[in-house]
Formats: sequence, C-alpha cells, structure tokens
Amino acid sequence: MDILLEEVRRAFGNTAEGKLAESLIEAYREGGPRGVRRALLEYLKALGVDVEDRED
Amino acid sequence: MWRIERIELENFRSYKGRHVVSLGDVNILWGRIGAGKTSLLYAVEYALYGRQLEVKERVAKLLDLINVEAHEMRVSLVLSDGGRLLEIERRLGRRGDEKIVVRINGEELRGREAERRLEELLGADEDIYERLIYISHRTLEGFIYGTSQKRSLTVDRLFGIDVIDSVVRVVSSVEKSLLAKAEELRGRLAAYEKYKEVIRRYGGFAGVKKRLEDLTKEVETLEEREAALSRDAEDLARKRAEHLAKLREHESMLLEYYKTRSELEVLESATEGGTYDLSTVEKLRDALREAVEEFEHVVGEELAEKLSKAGDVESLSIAMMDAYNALSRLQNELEAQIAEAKKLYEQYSARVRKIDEEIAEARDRLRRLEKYYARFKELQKTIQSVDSARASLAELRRQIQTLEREVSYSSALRVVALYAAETGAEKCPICGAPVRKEDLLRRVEEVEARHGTLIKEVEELKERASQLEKAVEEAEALSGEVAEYLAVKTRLEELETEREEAAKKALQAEKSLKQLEKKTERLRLLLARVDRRTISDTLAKYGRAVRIRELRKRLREIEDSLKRIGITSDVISIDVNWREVVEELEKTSRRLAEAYRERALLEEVVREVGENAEALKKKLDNALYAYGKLQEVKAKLELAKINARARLLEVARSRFNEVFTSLYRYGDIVRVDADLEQRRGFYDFHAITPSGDRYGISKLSDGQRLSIALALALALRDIARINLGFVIFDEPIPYVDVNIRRAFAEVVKALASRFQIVVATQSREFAEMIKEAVPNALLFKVDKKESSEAVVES
Repeated sequence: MDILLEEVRRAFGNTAEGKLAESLIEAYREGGPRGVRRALLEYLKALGVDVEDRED
Repeated sequence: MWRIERIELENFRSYKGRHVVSLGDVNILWGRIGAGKTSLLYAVEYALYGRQLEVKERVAKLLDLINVEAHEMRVSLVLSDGGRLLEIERRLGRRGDEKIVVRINGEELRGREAERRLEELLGADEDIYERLIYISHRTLEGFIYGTSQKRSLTVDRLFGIDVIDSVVRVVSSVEKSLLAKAEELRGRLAAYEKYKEVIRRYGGFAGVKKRLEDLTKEVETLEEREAALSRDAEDLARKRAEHLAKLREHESMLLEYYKTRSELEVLESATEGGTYDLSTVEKLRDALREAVEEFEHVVGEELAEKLSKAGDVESLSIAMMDAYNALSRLQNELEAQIAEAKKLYEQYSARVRKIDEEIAEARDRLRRLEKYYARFKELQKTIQSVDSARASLAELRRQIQTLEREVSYSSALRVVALYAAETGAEKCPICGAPVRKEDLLRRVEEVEARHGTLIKEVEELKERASQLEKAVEEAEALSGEVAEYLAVKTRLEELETEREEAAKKALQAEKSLKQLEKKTERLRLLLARVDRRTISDTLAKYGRAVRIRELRKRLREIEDSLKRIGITSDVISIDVNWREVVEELEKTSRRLAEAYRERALLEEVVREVGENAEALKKKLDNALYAYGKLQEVKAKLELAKINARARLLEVARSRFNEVFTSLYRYGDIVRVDADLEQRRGFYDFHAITPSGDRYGISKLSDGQRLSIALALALALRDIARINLGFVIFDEPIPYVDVNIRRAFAEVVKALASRFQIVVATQSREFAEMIKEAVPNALLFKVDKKESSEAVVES
C-alpha cells in the first residue's frame, strides 16, 4: 500500500502530468534528486525543451 | 523476520582485506570517528539493495565503496529467519561491473532473478529501509529538539512524504532553468530583431552561418597571403633601396613607362597576346562594299565611295556603320514589301479560289436548268413567242364563237323549217312569208349539210386552240427557269472573265514576291556575316591592334631612354615588382580588414541569435508551456502531500500508542494524541496523563519525545509489514545530553525483545550505558590502523 502514490494519482487523475508526478516520486526513491532531474529533463525533452543538465 | 547473522566484508571502504563480523541480538559498535562503524552499516544496505544512501544523495560515488588499494570489493550478508537462511553476496569492480549471488535454503540465484527474489523476501524497498530501519541522529534530532516545523519535517520523513518536498525542490530548480532558458530565448529573439536586416541580407540565419564559415576560411587564406606579400615587399624594398635616388630623379618617365606598360598589358591580354590579323577588317569592308554596290540604286552611290575612301579607324567605323545601317534599313523595307506582296498574292489567290467556286456553282445550276431551256426552245419553234401565241389563241376563240353562233342559227333554222314542213305551214312562222313544204325540206337539207361542216370547223378550231393553250401554259411555266438559265449563263461568262483577270494578277504578285525574296535572302546572308556586333568587335580589335603597335613603339623608346640614364630592365623589374607587391599587399590588407569587420559582425549575430526566429519562437513557446505544466505539477503534488499526511497519520494512529506504551513504561503518560494542523501542515502531539491532563510536546522531556518519535517509526514499520527484523541506529542521538542517552538505552532495552538492534556510536560512555541496560548485548570495538577492524570486546 503506497498511500503517497495513491494520493498523487487522486490529485492528478489519469493525466500525462499524473504519470510524470508518479515517475518523479519513483525516480526519487530509486535515484534521489539526480533521478528526479533526469526524469524531468526527459519529460521536457518530449515537450521540445532542451534544458541543460545542470545540477544546483 | 530476517535478522543479521553475519556481515562479511572484503576491501569495502576502510576495510582492507577480508573481515567477518557475526552479530547477536543487540550489538553496539563503538569506535572513534572514521574508524569504520558506518562502513559496516553501509555494507548491510549495499548488500540488501546494491546501493547506499550516501551514494543516492550524491555524497559519494558507488565506486568509492571499493577500498582505495583494491580493484574489487565484496560484501556478503547472511540473514536468518527461523530455520531459513539467506545469503546475499555482491561484488563490485573498479570498471563498475557488479555481480550478485543470492542463496536461499541451498538455492542459488544470480543477476536480475536474484534481485527480484531478494525484493520479495525483504518486503521493504530501499526507501522504507532508509526511513524506518536505518535510523540516524538526523531522523530523531529534529523531532526531539526541533521547532514544530522541523518536527513536522521529521514526521514527513518517517512517513516518506518528504519525497514530495525533495521532488518539488528539483522541479523548482528545473523551473529556474526553464525561466533562464526562456529569458535566453527572449534575448535571442530580441537579438534577431536587432540583426534582422543583416540576417535578411544573407538570405536567412543559415546563410549567415554559411557565410561565417566561408569567411573564416577566407580570413585564414588572406592572412597567409598578407604574411607572404609582406615578406616579398620587404625583400624587394631592400633591393630597390640601392637604386632609389635614380628612380626618384626619373620618376615621371618611369610613371609614363609603367602607365604605357600597364595599358599595353591590358590591351594585350584583351587581344589574346596582342596579335590581330588586320586583313579581317579589309574583308569586312569588301563585303559591305559589295552589298552596297549591289543595292546602290536604293541606298545611294556615296556609301560605297565612303567605304572605299575610309583610311583611319574612326572614318572606317562611321562608313561601315552607315553602310550597315542603310543595308539594315533596306532589309527592313524589303521585308515590308515582301509582306505586302505576299498579302496581295494571297488576296488574288483567294479571289481566284472564290471565283472558281462560284463558276462551279453556276455550271451546276446551268446543267440543272438545261432541259427546261431546251424544252422552251422547242416550244418556241411552234408558238414563236408567248405573246404571239396568246394573240393567235384569242383569234381562234373569236372564230370559234362566230362559228358556234352560225351552228346555233342553222340548228334553229332547221328546227323551224322541219316544224313548218311537218305541220304543213304555208307561212313562215317567223317572218310570215309564204312557204312551201318542198322548199322547207330542201332548206332543211341545205342547213343540215352546212351544219355538219360548221360543227367540224368548230371542232378543228377548238382542237387548235386547245393545243395552243397548252403550249402557252407550258411556255409560261418554263419562263422562270428559262430566265434563270439565261441569267446564270450571263453570270458564268462574267465570272470566267473575272477569274482570268484575278489569276493574271495573282501570277504577277507571285512573281514579284519571288523577286523580293531572292533580293532579301541575298541581303540577309550578307548582313549575317557583317552584323553590327561583328563590325564593332572587328573595329574594336582593329583599334586595339593599332593602339598596341603605338604603345609597343613608345615602350621601346622609353626603355631606351631609361637604359641610357642607367635604369636597366633589372632595376625596372625590381621597381615594378615592388610596386605590384605593395599594391597587392594594400589590396589584401584592405580586404582582410573588411573580412575581419564582417566576421566580427557575423560572429556577434551567431553568438547572440543562435538560430532562426521560427525555431526560437517555437522553443520559447515550448519552454513557457513546460513551465506552466511544472507549476501545475508542483501545485498538485502539494495537494497530494497534504492528503497523504492526513491519511498516513490516520493509519499510524492505529499502532502508535500501542508501540509507545511498550517503549515508555513509566506510567506518567498513558496516551499520546497525534493530530494534524492542516493550515500550516504541522503535526501536533499531546501527551495525556493518567489524570487526563494534556501536555503539548514542547512541555515533554527529551526522552519522552524520543519515545514518541521511535514509536511513530516502529508503528509505521509494523503497518508496512516489512520482513526485516532489525533496527540500525547510526549515531542516533547527541551525546552531550545524559538524560537522553539514558532514555535511549532504556528504549533499546524495550526494543530488544522485538527486534535485533545495531547501535553505532563514538561515545564509549553511551556504549557502556546500553551495555548496562542490555547486559547480553555484544560490544564491538571498531578501530582503524592500516585497515578498519571490528572486534568483539565483551
């Protein structure tokens, strides 16, 4: 039972952003902030935005 | 639940070589900072998940887990659960090659299959492990000593909700990058507007880039050329300096020499080495003269004369152009005449064709009317003419009337005579004259004789009249066709005459046309050979040839003069070369300066604009759209966090107080109420005393707060139903506070009945305090000399 993911699904519904949000949480759990950043950059790339992979 | 039996390390972090640590129910790892306590704990996490918190949080790289002096490390973890034994072995090489072997009750698994099975067996992922099993002072400190906000963050961490904050932080960071990107794109678009004219001049941004590439190459070439020319100019300047005085003294002559030579070179290069066959002009002149003479009755005699007399280029040029123009005009006139003659010929031919058609038609009509006309002619022989026939017919009718009257009279006379005779009348019934029967009968005989003749005459006349009438009627009926026949015949004769005339004129026009065409063709052939351009080219070449002859002569004269004053061809050659090189150098430098300026501008455009406007606009739109989406994601994640907090707290409540009372057995707190302050997202904890008094968490002791924090973590552990039966405390609390240490030792004692405990600390006093609370605990001394080592002390 993953309550956090359940609430995320509820907040977003079945949308592309919902899938992104889930993937970001999973990415964080697996790879920390770097994993999230990687997933976000891939999402942005799909939207046609090329952001430099620069870590703050 | 799985408990740790043995940790085996080989070249793991500070542990060089192979080390084995067997654990008991409660284990205290004591050693100074950097001795290797945490390495042992990290080894457990690495064995379980192939990763490790420090690596995940970017503090270190995975390869840093390998001892600095080794190429490979190995960790083996043996876990037991009742009768089951689970052995996990992981290896990691310097090249990043990882291997895993999992042995469970004699079964050996490797690679992905091993990872899958391990996940099933543990029932807790890395996230849960790091939140609820591996507890460091970071986990508890915020709860025990922090503000409401820090405490909430700790609880969020235990609940795993802090993931949202971390994700949102990364999203915000990416948003910043997006805004920076959008700003950069706006800047580029502004630069595009600024350099719009420049970009348009090069046919778009791609054109600018292409030009910049070409320009860069050109600059390289020009720089090389400039350097080479500079060297040459310096060499020649040195040589020229020896003759400088003389060169300056006769500068005007030299300048004339160079000017002449330069002009000569230009002319020679234009006339392919300066040679030109002068007879070409004569041939052209003859051709024109021949044509002019042939048409002199039209163009006049004076043109041929002018052509013959022209001696210089100018007069020859004028004469040739006059002749050519006159012949061209003539050609135009002839062509106009041809067109006229052709038109006339076509008109007459058309007329002839039209008349032929009319003649054929008239002949057809005549053939059709012929029979009527023949019949009329035949009738005409009988009746002469219709009018005379009509007159004869009237006469016949008159005679018939007369005869018929006579017939009537004789018939009446016979009737009266017969009547009188038969009645024996003595007197005539009509006139009363005395009559006799014999006379009467004789008279009857006479009348009868005459009557027969009259009847016969009448019939003959009627027959004749009838025939005549028929003939007149037929003649009248035929009169229309006859009139038409005669008219057509007359028209045919006219047409035949007309055709003859038209045919004659067409023939004349054709003849005239052929003559004109012949003349024009002759003229055309001539003009094709000597058109205006041929004349001007030939004359230009001729002029150049004449000029070349003059210049060569002048050049020889100047050279002789220069030689006489000591300026030899070698000196001239040096001076010429020097001048040429200097001139070329100046040109190259000028071009190079232009190229530098252009390159600087284009580099600026490329640097500031980057790409074409459409692509920039699209990228900006995409960046802003993405920014909006990320804002939306952040807002919804915050919402999900708030909802998840409420739900998780609700779930935790079900186990929390049970766990708390098992840890905290002093009786002064019977219950802890956990609530959520929705507005600020803070958790509120209130301790309830046996008398029912409520105390806020700020009024509780550190030890009580520690118990609450651990109770919360353990309650969540219970709810999560994980299969790991140990808790690791890595420097769980600060050491300055004696009370909290004591409280923690008591908590360990309480926990020891449920879990295997591993506590790592650098405080000997704290380690002994735990040992005192839990006497059967194993106390390991962790020390590092050349390598870390963990040895059971007691």
